[in-house]
Amino acid sequence: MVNKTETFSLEIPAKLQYLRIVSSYIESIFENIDWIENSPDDVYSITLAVQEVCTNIIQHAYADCVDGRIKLEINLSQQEQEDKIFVDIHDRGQSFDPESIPSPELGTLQEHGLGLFLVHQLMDEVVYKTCDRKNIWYLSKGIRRQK
Amino acid sequence: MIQVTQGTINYTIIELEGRIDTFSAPGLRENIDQLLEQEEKYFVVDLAKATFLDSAGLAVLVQLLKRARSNEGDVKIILPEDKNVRRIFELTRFDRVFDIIPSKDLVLKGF
Repeated sequence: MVNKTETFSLEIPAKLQYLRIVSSYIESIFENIDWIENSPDDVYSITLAVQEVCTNIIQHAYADCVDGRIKLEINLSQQEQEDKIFVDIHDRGQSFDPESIPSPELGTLQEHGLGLFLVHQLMDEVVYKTCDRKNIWYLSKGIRRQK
Repeated sequence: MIQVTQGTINYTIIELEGRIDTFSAPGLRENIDQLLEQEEKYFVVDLAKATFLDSAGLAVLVQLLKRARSNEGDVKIILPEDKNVRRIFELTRFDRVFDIIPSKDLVLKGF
């Protein structure tokens, strides 16, 4: 079997009002790539995880910046073992240490800190790297092939 | 969109449809603030027709519950029909924090 990868990219101004463009973009990829199952469960998980990361970038990484931008690179990889989606989310804002964010106390009236928790729950792999004010979130998840 | 009706036991029913997320959360919070300023303290939040819920949307609901309880009131939740939206409640265990009811008929007919 020949492994295949489809690559897409999108860049938006780092403003909350544009996050729905990102969700629509991901939904459209699932609707239009014929070898992926357009699974509502997968689409929801991925769009929510990406939205949570982008929200964090806008509200924290670019807290002191009005013209920041977010770049997304989306790779859909058809592999022998498992098909996967890889979403790399780039920003040039303030970096942070994910280890410094405490895990939320579930089942309590906690308002904050749930975004990153949800990202980890919804995606198979979540990695954050930073170097010279270039920050990249690497998210990946197994996806279902169209039967 | 929010529709508010008064039940026989003075519950305010807030029906939320569509996306409840970081973009819509500020407007929702403003509407809730107005209700709390009007001294409403018992709420039913009907999420049956919610199609998307993120951590910002959850935060608004938690803030409502905290403020209602500080005024000796309470908030009941009707869970979303969409299983993926409902799953967010389950992952965060907010389905154990809020009083979950099956429908607003329970409130309208009186407990």
